[in-house]
Amino acid sequence: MMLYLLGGMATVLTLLGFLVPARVSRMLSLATLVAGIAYLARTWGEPASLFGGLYRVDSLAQGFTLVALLGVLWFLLAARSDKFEFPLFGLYAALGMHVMASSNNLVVMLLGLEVFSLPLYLLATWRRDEAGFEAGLKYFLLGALSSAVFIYGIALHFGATGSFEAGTQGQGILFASGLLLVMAALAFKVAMVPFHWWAPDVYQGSPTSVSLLMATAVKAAAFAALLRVLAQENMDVWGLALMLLVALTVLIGNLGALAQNEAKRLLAYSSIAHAGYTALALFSPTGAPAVGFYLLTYLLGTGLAFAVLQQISERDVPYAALRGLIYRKPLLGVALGLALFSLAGLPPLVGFWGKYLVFLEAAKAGQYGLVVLALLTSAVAAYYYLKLFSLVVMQKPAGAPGQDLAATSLDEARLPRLSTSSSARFAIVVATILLVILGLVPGWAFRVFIAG
Amino acid sequence: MIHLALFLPLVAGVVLMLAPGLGRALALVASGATFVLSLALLVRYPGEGLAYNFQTPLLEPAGVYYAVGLDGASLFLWLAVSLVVLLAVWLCRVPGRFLALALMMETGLLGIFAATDLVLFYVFFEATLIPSLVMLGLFGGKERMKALYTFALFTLAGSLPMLASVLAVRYLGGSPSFLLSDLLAHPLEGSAVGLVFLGFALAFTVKTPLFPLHAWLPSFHAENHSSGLADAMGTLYKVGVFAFFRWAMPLLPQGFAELQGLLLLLAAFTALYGAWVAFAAKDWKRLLAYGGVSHMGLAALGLFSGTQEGMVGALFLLAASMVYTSGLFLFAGMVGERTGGLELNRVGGLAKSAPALSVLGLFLVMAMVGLPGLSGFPGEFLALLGAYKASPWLTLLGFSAVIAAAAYALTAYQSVFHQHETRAARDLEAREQVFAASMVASMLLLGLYPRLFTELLEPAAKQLVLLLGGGS
Amino acid sequence: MPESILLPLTITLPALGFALLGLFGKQLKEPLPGVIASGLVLGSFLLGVLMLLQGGARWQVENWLPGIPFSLLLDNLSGLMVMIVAGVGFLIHVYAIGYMHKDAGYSRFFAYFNLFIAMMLTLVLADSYPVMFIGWEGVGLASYLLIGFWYHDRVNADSARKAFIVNRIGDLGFLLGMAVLWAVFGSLSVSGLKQQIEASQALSSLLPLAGLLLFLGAIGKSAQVPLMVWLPDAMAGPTPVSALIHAATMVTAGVYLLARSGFIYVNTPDVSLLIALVGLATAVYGALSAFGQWDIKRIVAYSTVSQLGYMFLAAGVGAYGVAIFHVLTHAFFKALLFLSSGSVIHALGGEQDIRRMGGMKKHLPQTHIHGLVGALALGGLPLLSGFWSKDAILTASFEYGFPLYLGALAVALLTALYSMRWYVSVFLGQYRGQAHPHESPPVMLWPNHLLALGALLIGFVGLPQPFPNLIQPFLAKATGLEAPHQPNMGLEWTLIVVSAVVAAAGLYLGWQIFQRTTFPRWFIRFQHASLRSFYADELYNSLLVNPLKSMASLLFGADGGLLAGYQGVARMVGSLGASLARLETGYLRLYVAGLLLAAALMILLGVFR
Repeated sequence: MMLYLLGGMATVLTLLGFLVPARVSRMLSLATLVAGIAYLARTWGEPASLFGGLYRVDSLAQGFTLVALLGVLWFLLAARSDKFEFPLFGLYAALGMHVMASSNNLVVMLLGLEVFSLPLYLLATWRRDEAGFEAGLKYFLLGALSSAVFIYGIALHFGATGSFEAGTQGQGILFASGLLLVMAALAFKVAMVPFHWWAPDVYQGSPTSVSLLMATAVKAAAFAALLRVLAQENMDVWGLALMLLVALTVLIGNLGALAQNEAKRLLAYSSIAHAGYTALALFSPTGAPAVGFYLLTYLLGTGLAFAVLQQISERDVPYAALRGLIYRKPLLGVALGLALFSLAGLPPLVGFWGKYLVFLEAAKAGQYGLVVLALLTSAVAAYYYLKLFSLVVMQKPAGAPGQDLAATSLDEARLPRLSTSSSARFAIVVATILLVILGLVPGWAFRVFIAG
Repeated sequence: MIHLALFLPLVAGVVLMLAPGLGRALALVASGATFVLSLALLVRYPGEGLAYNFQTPLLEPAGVYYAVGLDGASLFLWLAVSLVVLLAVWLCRVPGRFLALALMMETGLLGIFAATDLVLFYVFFEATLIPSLVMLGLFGGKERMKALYTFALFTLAGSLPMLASVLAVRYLGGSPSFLLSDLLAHPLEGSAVGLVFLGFALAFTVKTPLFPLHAWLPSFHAENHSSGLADAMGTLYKVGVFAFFRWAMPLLPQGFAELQGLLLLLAAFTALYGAWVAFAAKDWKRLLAYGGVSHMGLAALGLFSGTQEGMVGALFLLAASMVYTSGLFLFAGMVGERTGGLELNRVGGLAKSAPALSVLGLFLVMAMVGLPGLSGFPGEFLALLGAYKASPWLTLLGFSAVIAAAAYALTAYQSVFHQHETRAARDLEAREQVFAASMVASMLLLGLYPRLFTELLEPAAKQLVLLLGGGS
Repeated sequence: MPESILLPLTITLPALGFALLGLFGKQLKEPLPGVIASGLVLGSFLLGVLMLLQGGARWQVENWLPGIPFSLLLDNLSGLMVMIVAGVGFLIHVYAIGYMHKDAGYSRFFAYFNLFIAMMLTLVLADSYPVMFIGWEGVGLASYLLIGFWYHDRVNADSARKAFIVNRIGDLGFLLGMAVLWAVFGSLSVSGLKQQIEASQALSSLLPLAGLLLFLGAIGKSAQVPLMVWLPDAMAGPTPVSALIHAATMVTAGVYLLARSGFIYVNTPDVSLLIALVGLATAVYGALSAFGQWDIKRIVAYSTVSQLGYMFLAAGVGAYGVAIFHVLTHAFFKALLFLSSGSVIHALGGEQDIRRMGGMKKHLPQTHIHGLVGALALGGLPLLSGFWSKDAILTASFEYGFPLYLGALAVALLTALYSMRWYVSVFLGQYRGQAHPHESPPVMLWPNHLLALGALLIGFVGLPQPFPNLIQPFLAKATGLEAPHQPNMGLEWTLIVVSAVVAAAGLYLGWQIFQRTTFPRWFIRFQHASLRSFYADELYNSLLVNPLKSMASLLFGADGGLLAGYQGVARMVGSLGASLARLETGYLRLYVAGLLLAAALMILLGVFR
């Protein structure tokens, strides 16, 4: 079972870590994740449950675990660290996410949340400098606060319904407040406005590979929980609140991104906005596959963007560092360009289909107002993605053939030297190909999420 | 065969992108084959209705199909697009990757005309933007980034809200899928129709383009590569008229009826305005950009008249102007290559040293002016006949552009080719002669025997007239 | 009428010449291009004769445009026009072989010339308005190319462009006229419309509008007031061009259009009156403007404007046959005038100013005869061709209304005067220049011999009663329209005598007056205004052209402003985003506060839902 696989390996590796070299530990972690994914694939569509239903693997759990595992896998492929704890934290996070996605019980969810949050707090500070500590601390404190909110919400929920089961029907002020608080705590994890405060600072301050993890895998776990918590039957309780959240999120996420001049911070805002788009599908009873698919496309898009940035620097990536990337590192340039187009939702890249599906679900649910707002703000979003893209194709470095744009010529010395590790390269190539292929035949990937 | 024609350019483009060394040869083979295939499809076309239909689920549960088919109108446009791409590839000496992007774009364009599923149409409509942007970004001029933002944001600000209309047209109408046939069988009615139509109208107006949403076009052309290849491709991308015809108007006849007056007014104003502004242009690219805007205004005037002859004229003008306007951009590229710049006052009297070039220019300019006997006329004339039925006064307003067209086109032509010779230029070489001959032949064919193509357009136009509630 | 493939062939022959000479003309040695071109036009002429003798022909392609056939028709009216176009055209082609000798653009010239003939034949043979419009704009293109033939001179290029643009104004009228006819009758076939209109009881109230719009087209092409400004400038082209296009054929297309569409205009008396008035105004304007010109060709050009006004007057009063009759005679004497002017210019090495001419009678005896015949025919000396046709117009306008007659008579007097001014200044007196005049070669003289013969004799096809009048019944067969009234013979002959006296007196006076060297002050002042064509160009430039041009620049700027406006909106969104992003202060305490506030909000929402 997945739970044992991840949990067991994490424990074993923690112990082994003192004995074997970090490299081996990393390989084993990777192998574990691959095995996990393979196991998922083999048991696809087969429900399972343990502990009297507290741990429940259904299609929802499988789909979101897949996204989360892929995210962690990528994180490990991309990151470079000679400490053996590093991949371990990834494994623990994967475990937590899997748990969170695979339970209908609020307390177990909380458990999962904490399991994957703690490693992330640590990873955020991995780069031992002031920015890293600041990011880690902010993330930790705010995270703790949101956990408190979560717990409080659970308590109210239990008080109102006498149950820890997510999606229990209920009424009254107590229930409503409880449900909304739970939602708020989860909204914090997916970085929806107004619970998004941490995201820009933390994404920017953390090592780029960690930001990748935060942006992709975490969202998968939290959205799985949201899908369970926000049952259709209780729509009249949470509907208005979620509408507000979505509206604020797409507005502030996209508008806020306009003024940025550092790529990771920009992607943080972009990730906020995308959380808003994803949440659109929550209004529809058939929205779960769309959410899963969206997260997959988002994983490919934003993961690719972070992966490219990570190749440039684990620290800040000011816009200037991207200038003419396509001429210096064609692979990275093309990958980033495609990732940006995908994030902007341009067909035929896979990002379009994700967006299309969540909008479709929202339209099915009659939320045309939100759809239009989301679409308008995605036009705004196109601007900042294009801005990055234009940097990528702008100004060839000296010596390259082409037009002379000397006015803003490149200061080669100030740019970081680019060297790509082979595993990271591999991940980037695979993701780029998937980004295009799945864009052309989206049905392949989407089918995964509706099976079972 | 239709799939081969549709995706061959894309595949070739990808290959070329990876191996730009194959360059012109591969691009020529691919675009040539596409043209031949389009021609073959045209020859085998039964004469009416959608042919070569094919559909397979693309995103099954969401009711999205890869569904393509061609009717007379789309075949005509296919032919125009594949011809222009072939000629442009033949003519332009540009880097292999540039050609690769053009080929990729060709697939998008062909797809726009072939799609019979609304979402698939949307995909092609938007996807074509990417190669176009990359072309501008990689090979454009000094101010290209500004032009790039402008172009992209106008397009997206139009087309993203359109996605809401795409969804609404299906779910409010209760259609089981996004297939054209299903959507037509489940017409949308009620108060939302106007808004839904507006969503389409915005996107298509940007791409027609009509005033005031044409503002992206001049800088787009002005900043694109001087060879004119990207401009030619951009010209082909002005598919708004077709999109109105194929999707917005048939799906939402009621919505069209609500906005018809406004659209007619915009079209007429655009026609005159574009031509008028073009007169003040100082370089070829802007001149042609505004001239093209004016032409599309005339086409739109015909289309929005809702009459059969008007719509046939609009589509004819669209296809014809794709060819000659692209030709003009490429021609401007040839002039620029010889004289080192695209400003109109840069040289004079080129006709003396480069007579063949000047003859090509004259043909193109005259087609643009709408001289009968060349390809600009039949469409313009039919659009006029239709438009007059819908609104005599707006027709007068819009078609005053034919006077202005003569003014700007001949003034520009004169200043470069006539008057005192300021420098000599090389005349056409063999490669360019082939291009010129094909261009002239196409313009003469369309102009002298328009029946060949109007008969393709008529059934589709007739059908739409019925849908719009006109029945004469 | 028999279907005949010969009919499109008539057009194809010169079109072929255009293509051949355009593509390969450069490889051909002089005078081969000229010979080929002339031969092809002669071919068209002979084909036309053949078909006319067969009693006419028609040819058509169905659904050339949806519902609009490509149809050609050769009946008596278009047949006569083919005779004029291809016949006179052939003579001028031959003349040009000599005139264009050693020009760098020799073959190009003949390519354009053949293009013109092809388009002009399309125009006259068309049996559907769109087809006529092909020819209509096609001759405009040929005219553009030929006026600007020596394009390296800016003036020539400007004149060519002006001609095209001004014509386009008329063409818009033509286009809209077709749109009206299409909307009302659903057909644009000339003979089809004719049947429909003749058969219908109640006529559409839009018919006058259609007539008016078509008339606007005619105004442009035939240089009537107020669109007359392009024709004098069109003299920038080589002289054979002026003779062929801007005298004998193309400019009469407007008259032809009115005659062809007579079935419309007989039903629209108001429009017809307007046509007559415009015609008369043009006749007066052209005649007065002719007095002040110093350019030998511009004098003739203004006389063309004036004579075209005559033709419109005739068409306006309903005498379509008479109008065409004048087209016929005018073709001969005006082509002759131009070609003899050309011979003079040729002889003087390009000199065009009559102040540096004079005495050519001695130097160019044969050309002198040609010029004299032309001038007398133009001035309306009795028994010459111009006399008969002008008299027919006078008679018709007398029948229509006395004021029109009076105006026309006055123009006749003026015509006689200025034609003498032209003749006297060029041929009489002493030579005032420095060149060494030499008579033209035979290839230029022979066409003039034939044209002079025509100018002398062609009028006899349209004699007044009781003599047999050949042309009117011949044309009426095609138009179906008789001249409205047949005046009684006494009145007719009275009018003939009056006009003969007026013309003779005018010619004599002119011959006398213009041999003088001093003129009264009022005449000098009048001449100044006349030289500037009474400031028509200045008026148009300041009232229309310049405002439109500055408006274009203004709009061009405004269009940039529009884009800037959009960008401004974008910037506003951007700064909104910037201020929103400023909320992200980086202070943890604010974040905590924000988070708690938001959570509280959630609870509130739960409470007050």
